[in-house]
Amino acid sequence: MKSRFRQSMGWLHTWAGFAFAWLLFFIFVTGSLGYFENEIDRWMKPEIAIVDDAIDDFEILNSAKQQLTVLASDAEQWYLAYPSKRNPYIKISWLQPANAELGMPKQWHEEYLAPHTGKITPTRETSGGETLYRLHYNLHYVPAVVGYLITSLATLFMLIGLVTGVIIHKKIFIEFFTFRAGKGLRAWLDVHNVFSVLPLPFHLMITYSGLVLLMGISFSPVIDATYGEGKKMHRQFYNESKTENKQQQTINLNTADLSLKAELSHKPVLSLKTVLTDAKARYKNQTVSYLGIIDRNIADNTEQPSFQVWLDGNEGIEFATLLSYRLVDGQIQLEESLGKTHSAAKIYDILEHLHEGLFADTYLRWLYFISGLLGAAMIATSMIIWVKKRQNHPTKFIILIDKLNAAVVVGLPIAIAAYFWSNRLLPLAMSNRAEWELHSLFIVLAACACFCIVRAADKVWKSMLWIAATVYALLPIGNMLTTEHSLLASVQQGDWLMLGFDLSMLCFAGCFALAAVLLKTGQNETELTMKTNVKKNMKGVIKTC
Amino acid sequence: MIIQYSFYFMNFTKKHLAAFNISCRVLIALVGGYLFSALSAVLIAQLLPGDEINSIITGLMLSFIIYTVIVLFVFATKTTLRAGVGVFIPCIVMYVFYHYLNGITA
Repeated sequence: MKSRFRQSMGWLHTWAGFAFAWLLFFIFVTGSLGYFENEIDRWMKPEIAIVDDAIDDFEILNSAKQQLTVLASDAEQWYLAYPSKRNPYIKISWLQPANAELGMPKQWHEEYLAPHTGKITPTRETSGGETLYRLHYNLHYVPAVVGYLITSLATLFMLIGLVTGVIIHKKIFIEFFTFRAGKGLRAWLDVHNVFSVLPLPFHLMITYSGLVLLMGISFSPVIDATYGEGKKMHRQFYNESKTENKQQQTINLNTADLSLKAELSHKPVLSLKTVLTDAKARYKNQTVSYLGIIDRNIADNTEQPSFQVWLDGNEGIEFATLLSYRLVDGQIQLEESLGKTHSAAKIYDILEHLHEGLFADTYLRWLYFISGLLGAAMIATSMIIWVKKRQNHPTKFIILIDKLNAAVVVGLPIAIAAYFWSNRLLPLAMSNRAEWELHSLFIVLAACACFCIVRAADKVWKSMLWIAATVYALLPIGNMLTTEHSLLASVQQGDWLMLGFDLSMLCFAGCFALAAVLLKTGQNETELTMKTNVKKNMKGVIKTC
Repeated sequence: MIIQYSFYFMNFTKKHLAAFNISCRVLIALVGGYLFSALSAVLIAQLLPGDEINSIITGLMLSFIIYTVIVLFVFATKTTLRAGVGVFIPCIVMYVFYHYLNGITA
């Protein structure tokens, strides 16, 4: 009975994985890139001037305010982001109301300011890191809800794959320390086990939290049945679950300098300048990361604009202290958030933060990224195992699957490189430039699939790996030729984000090249080789085994 | 069982039968699993004492675990019929119970 149970779980493991392997690989790779969203953004906007010295907070505020007054006089919300380690530049953003005449919907705008001069630095139109990582749950070409549902279903299959995977490996730890190099299928199974077991807690966390993040959509009938039907009720449900405990107090503003004091002697006036002074006096050891105004243009006297100060948001916005100031009956009221009211909402928050990893510093961020790629590698090895198991009697269908596996596993990295290349090569004045960056990603992915189908089966992996190695190796050179950001210049300017990106690209190129060299052609192929970027990590693991 | 016997009469091969069985199980697992987990999430949301929002979120978060367990059950049971009965009968019971509950509270 027991062996029968394991057998049926093995069947489920194979086919649940097979059903969504390509999509899951796509989700893991693009999702992992999300951990470096800001760094990718920086590379895709090479014009931004980085701030490499300390500038006075008030000086930044002044120039930001000047620009916002000119550009966004009718916007409801203003934000100013102070330079931080991860984002060493001054960014202003505002919510522009809808303009019926121009047919523009209500949308966010952002601009970067040059340090010291306070002038706007024009940046190229780009999709950036955000659109790239959003692909992993909205799939871009389908309506958002459809994308959420498809990715949720794929993620459920991932969870089933993980659970059945644990069930079918009775001696999971013994198998973990087994590596039978040069034994074909067995070697691939061992590699698959390493990639699955080592980061298993990460895989379970990321899969489950991914499902939970979209649960309001995938299980929306539950909200219909319990809370209320319709869009309006759903919105109300979200708002109610987001309720926060707040500490409110009526305060007098701290006035550090005397000129302000004179200004305030008549009646309390709130401005970005006064709240910044007050916040700095209240929390002396913390740095200001964001300033904002909400409800700027509310005309009636009942609601007053709210001024917000985020302190220490560098380590992720969720850990920032948020102070919000508002005038209530002529008195200044200071509100500090004490976290979510509902305990289940707190658990949801924790899962969300774990999934997004915004709190992670550089090292933890890399660990997140590598774990994500290990997940992708786990899926890639499973595709290879599926083909290897059936290779003794290869049918046309199995050969086609093998070719398409190559098109996905190596083609997707090539397509992402195309996304970066298009950022440098498309004409700057092109209309819909940002959109075309994404189109190039998918066009190249489709081209990879065509190439793989045409190419001889025993050469397809090798040629794809060489193409990948080439496009990644050339990226820093392309960057050098199209902008003034060569590796050397980045070192000289201390532009570590730009340098880090270029070096990572070279590193990926090296991994692909190594895989291509180690890949032996023919029947006895690929015992020691890995077809993904994480090769190096795997080597480390094998050595310890 | 009846379905399986009628298959033999209709001169289907074993291969067809296996394919039919598997398709049935996939359907039971996906559709039945969704119904089962959604209904249990609703009941958890309604029966848990305390704050409504908390109960709904708890129900939603547990639904994925229930879904996974149901899918495993569907593929682990001996016959397809047993899998279908095991999933859909509790669904009907939960559905009736849900209406019974709302009849009382309303």
